[in-house]
Order: sequence, then structure tokens, then C-alpha cells
Amino acid sequence: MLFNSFGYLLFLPLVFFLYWAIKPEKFRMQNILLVAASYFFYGSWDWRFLFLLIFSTAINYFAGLRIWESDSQSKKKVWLVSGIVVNLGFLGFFKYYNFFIESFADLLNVFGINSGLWTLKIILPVGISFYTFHGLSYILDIYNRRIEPTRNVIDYSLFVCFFPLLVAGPVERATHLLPQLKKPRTFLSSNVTDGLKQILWGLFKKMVVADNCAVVVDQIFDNYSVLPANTLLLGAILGLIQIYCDFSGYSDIALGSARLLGIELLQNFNYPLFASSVSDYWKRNHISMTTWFMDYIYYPLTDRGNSLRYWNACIIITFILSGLWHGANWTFIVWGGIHGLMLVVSINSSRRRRKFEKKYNLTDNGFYRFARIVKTFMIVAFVGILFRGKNLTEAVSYMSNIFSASLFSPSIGEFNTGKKSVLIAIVLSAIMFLVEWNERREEKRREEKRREEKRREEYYTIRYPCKKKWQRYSMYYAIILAIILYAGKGQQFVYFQF
Amino acid sequence: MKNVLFRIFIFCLPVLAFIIFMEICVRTFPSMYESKKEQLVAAADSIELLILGTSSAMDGVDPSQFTPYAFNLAFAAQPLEYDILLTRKYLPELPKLKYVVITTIFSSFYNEGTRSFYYYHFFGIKQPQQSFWKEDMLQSFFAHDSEQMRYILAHSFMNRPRFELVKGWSSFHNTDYQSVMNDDKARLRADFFNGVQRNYKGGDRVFNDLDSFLDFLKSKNIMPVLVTMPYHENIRKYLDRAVARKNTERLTFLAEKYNIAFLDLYADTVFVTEDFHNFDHLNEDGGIKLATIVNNKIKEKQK
Repeated sequence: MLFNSFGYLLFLPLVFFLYWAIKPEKFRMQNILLVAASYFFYGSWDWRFLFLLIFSTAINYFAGLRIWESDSQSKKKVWLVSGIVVNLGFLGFFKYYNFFIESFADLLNVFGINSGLWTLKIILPVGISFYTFHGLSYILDIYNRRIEPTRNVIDYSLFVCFFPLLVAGPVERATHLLPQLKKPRTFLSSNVTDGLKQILWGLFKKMVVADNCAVVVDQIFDNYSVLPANTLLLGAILGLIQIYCDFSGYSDIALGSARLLGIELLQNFNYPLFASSVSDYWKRNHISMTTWFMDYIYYPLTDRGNSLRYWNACIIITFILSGLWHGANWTFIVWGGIHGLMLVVSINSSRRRRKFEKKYNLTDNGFYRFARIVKTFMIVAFVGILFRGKNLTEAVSYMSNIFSASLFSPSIGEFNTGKKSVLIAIVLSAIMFLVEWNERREEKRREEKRREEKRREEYYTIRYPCKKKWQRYSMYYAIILAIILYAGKGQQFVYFQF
Repeated sequence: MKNVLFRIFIFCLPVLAFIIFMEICVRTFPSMYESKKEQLVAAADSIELLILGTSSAMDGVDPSQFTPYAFNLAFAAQPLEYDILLTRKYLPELPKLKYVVITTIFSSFYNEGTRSFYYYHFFGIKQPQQSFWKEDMLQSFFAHDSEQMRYILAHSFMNRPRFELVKGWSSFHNTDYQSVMNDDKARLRADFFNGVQRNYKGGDRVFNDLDSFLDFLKSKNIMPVLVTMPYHENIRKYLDRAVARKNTERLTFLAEKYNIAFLDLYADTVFVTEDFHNFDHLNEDGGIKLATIVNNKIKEKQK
């Protein structure tokens, strides 16, 4: 069941009504309902993989209890390692088996050895990367005494399978989500309206912007060898916008759906397309995954060394692993590696950059700040070609084709869907940029005000850049109209494949 | 909670009103399927020859050029499967039917129906495994994509399309030189056709269906005529030659098996640029030329 499907349009209100029909004091009953709904939601893809999800849940639940209850450190370690091996074993088999076998066979072929190794026809269970990470963070947090294990199996099952985040995140932490599941949730009308607003914006980004960009980007990537350089550059730019709108749209729908049920999920995106540097980009993009890798891979790695060079290497390793997490393909590994390398450069040059900015009084210069945003966007879009390419050869060839004289050609290449489809994608992207640019500015102002008033941080939500009520309502209706009349051909969410 | 739900309901009212408006527009919008069906039913007693195929035949075979009373029942992207289903459905209502001209295009043996709803909605044709309850309920969402919906809304009150069909046929009056002479467009269009063939997973299903259909027609004393539709030379150079050759071989095999006429016009030089509207569609002149050739072939076969 996709978030942008007719099925979800029926499923979500039904769950919402049944959920709030149960009194908040009986929150355990609400949890049981949510687990049942989540299993139904997951089973609607392929019911066979429900068993894998339940098995993974059971393993981590018991491993968590055993780690906590074991009296010796060595026993704790054994349970932790067993939990990690089982989790990564499943992930490795379903997601990486064929990749490693094929890569190994290719390596043997280089030495003239015909390995005859077997690949298997394996279907990747939807969301396996996400729920495996939920389970891993749970047992690691228990081992590190950050949390106590939950003894209620329903609470834990819900933490793993909660339908808004089950398939493509955000990658939740037990420390954040579990406490919410262990206490009553109160019905707030502000939660419902904010949730609906966020779902609406998520649908707009996914169905209108991402799916219209996808039509153009797919054609450009399929025909990159014969298209002029300016069109390839456009493909890279629209490709980044597509991936962003696809995934952040999904996250918005997930956060909004959870909020309807009175549950707050982690913010996953903070306007990454307006990042001023690569390090800023990774603070804003896919935040829940980035912080997961930082907390469970980067920081434990850095504990083992003290030199700057070692820490830099840790960043690159972490990003290579994050690339591999995205998909079993060398393109993702190289993509992660390059991002790691750029991050190292960005972090190490930040002091010099600040000095430079101070010297020439650029800190508050709007044009300079805008130029940095454009520079970061273009770099990320260019490296993003690796993310979209079918293989390394194709991606590198695409990248090199951009540097040709046709980059400055006044007209773009031909499209099966006509140039109108390109224009539609550009205009819709521009609308998304305008709204989010304004939203980001408002968010900044609100943050400053919060800091002045020393109020606690509010949850993330889209508020739409209109002050007057009639303007706001006009905007809601305009977005609904755009979803009805400009929805692209229903495409699956890009991150489902991860 | 009641208050929130009431507010949501009030908010949704204009959206619901708009959806109802769209449904009315869709359901009252003129359709080529409806127009052809009406003409077919009205002329059923006279029709002696049926022309089947995709948009290449829909635009490119003029029924008025045939000696027998002909009717063009081809539709855009109509797969052979629906050529067969349509003929089988209307055969009892066509007492004089003697000939069926089955036109094929480059991807005919590799094409699945993508417009099944239209055949269900306008002709009542439904396969046992098909279900159209969503489309029946909300055509504006489930039977049409957003681009079609924009077109329907934009033309519901002004510039409403009118189908001036003669025996089920109307065609382009010009050659779109900007399209036909554009090498990039030719390559892209060819990529599309090559892609349809490459991505097809149905094996020989369409070929076998055609084989049985020819057998069925022969058993009813109806003479089938096989025709491969012409493609402009600018696109042919990009189309997979092996596929084109295999298409010809398959049709030749069937023509010999059933002793029927087969006209391979795929690369026929009798069709010049002025006969085409674009790479794979003839214009009015081309349609007349092609129909004349097929008519002569039928006459020759009868001798």
C-alpha cells in the first residue's frame, strides 16, 4: 500500500477513527490496533515477508532483554553480537548476496578464473533496511545503557512496525519513540490540522513535483549518450529535486500520519536543497539516517583513534557504508565515498572559510550566501548522477558528457513526452522552491524567537507561507487542485528499493 | 473531536464538488470510441470489410477507397488482442462481413492493452480477470491520467472536439515536416518502439492469438488480409531490423498457412515523405494510397 494510493486514502482515516474511538487511557489497546494495522499495511505488499518482520522483531526483543538481564559483560556481548549477526545476516542475504557474489565473480574473472558462482533470484523485502536499523539501534542502546528494554512485546512491535515509518523511515530511535508508546496520547485538534497540512505538502512534493520530474529525468538518463550537455545538466538538477521531493514527500506524509495519531516522529529533512556547504547538507538531509550512522558507526570508530587523519578516514568509511546501505551497487558506494571526501574537505576548510568571510565582511552578504547555496546544490546534483546511474560506467560517462561545448547550446534535446513536460517539471519545482524558501525563512525567525523566549523546541511542521486565513486556505485548495490535475504517472517511492 | 471532523468535512466540500464536476465533464466528453461505435452499429447491415489496427491504421487506411463497403475500426494503441475481441463481439451484427484487414505495426507482436477500460466502458468488453470497479466509480481519477483530465477540463466548454468520421475514418491533412525531418525525434520514437519489444514478457502469445483468429475467420468464410503499416525511412534506420524481419517472417508464415493476402508495406518506397503525417502515421493522401493498394490486392486475390 503506497502513501499516494487510493488504498491509503481509505486505510488512514479508518485507522484514525478506530484509534481515537478507543479512550486514551486504554492506550495499550490503541497500540494493539496500530500493530494490527501496521501488519496489514505491510502484508498488503507481500504477506510472506510478514514472517520475516515478526521474526526480526522477536529476535531483537529477546536479545534486548537478555543483554539487559545478563550479569556479566561477556554474556551481554554474546547476546549483542548474536543480535547484530542475525540482523545483518538477513539484510546481507536479501540485499547484498547477489551484489557480493557478482563482484567476487568479476574479480576472479580479472584473473582469468571462471568462478561459476551462483546468484539467486531474491526479492528484496520492502523496508528491510529501515526495520533492521530500528532493531540494531534498540539492542545497541540497551547494551550501552542508554535505554532500558521494554517488557511489553506490543510496545516493542509497534516501535518496529509502526506503519508510517515501516517502509522508508524516518529511522527512529527507541529513546525517542518508545516513551511515546508507553503513555496515553491525547487528542489535539492542532495535531490533526498540522498532520493534515504536512500530508498535503508531502503529497504535493511526491505526486506533483517528484513524479513530473521523474518523467523527464528517466528519459534523460535513458538517452544520455545522445543528448546535449545542457540537457544532461538539467537531468542532474531535476534528478536531485526528484529524489529530494520523493523522499522528503514520503517523510512528510509519514510524519503527518503519525501526528494524526498523536505520535511525533523524528524530523528527517530540514531544507537540504538550501544548504550552504556539503557538511550543512548532511545536517539537513535524511537526518535520521545520517545521525544513525554517526551515532552507531562514526563515533564508536573515532573512539579508537586520536589523529585528525584517522577521524577523516572514519568519516569517509561511514559515508561509504551509508552509500552501501542505500543499495547494492558500486554507484552507491562511490557516491557515499565522494560525499565522505567532500565532507572532510568541507569540515577541514571551514575555519579558513570563516576567516575569509570575516576579512571581506561576507558573513551577512546575501548574494554570497545565495552563491554558496547554488554551489552546494550544483555539487550535490552532479555527484547525484552516481545515485541515479545504472552502473559506474554509465554514470561516469554521463558526468563526462556534461563537459562539452553543447553545455552552452541555446536549446535542449528532444523528449518523447515533448518539451512541455520539461517546462511543467521546471515550473512545479520552482513553486516547491518558493514555498520551502519562504518556509525556511519563517522557520529561522521562529527559532530565533523561541531562543529569545527560552521556549522549548517545537515539533517540525509545514506552516505554509501565508499570514491571512483566506490566503492560507486558497493555498491549500491550490495544492489539492495541483495534486488532482498535475499528478505525474503514479510512481513508486524511490527509497522503497533501499 | 467532533468539531475537528466537522471542520474537515466543511473543508472537503469544495473538493468533493470539484471531483463531481470533473466526473460530469469526463462522462459527457465526446469520445472517438463512442463516435465509431455509433457509426459501426448504424452501418452494421452494410459493412463488408473491417479495418483493424492501431492509430497507424486509424489515420492511415481510408475505407472509402475499398470496393466493398468498408469500416475503419482501428483505435490508438489498439493491441491485436482487442482487434480480435472487437471483431468477435460485433461479428453476429455484421451479416455481410467478408473481409477483415488486419494491420500490424513494428511492435504489434509485443504489445499489451493499456486502454482496456475504454473497451469495457464503450464496448462492454471485459476479460474474466479484469475488474474496473474503481474506474466505474471515479473515471476522472482511475480511468484517465492528469494530462488527459487537464485536456478534458480545458475543452469541456470551449473547443470541444468533434469527430467528423467517414466510415470510422478521419486523418491528418498535412505532413509535419518539423517532426519527420528531425533526427533526434526519430531516434527517440524508435527507442520507444524498440523498448516496447525489449520489455515484452508475453512470448508468442500475441502471435498464437492471431493464428487462432485467422483460423476462426476462415471458418466463418471471412477473408483476412494482413498488412504491415509503412514507416518513414528516417525512423526505420533506428528500428531494430531483426524485429522487423521477424515480424515479416511471422506474417508470411501465417499468410502461407491460411493462403491469405499479405502486404508488407513496412519499407515500401511507394510511400514518400508527403504521404506521412509523422514517422509512423500516414496522412490523408497516404491513407488513400494505402487503401487503394490493399483494395487492389483483394481484387487480385479474388481472381
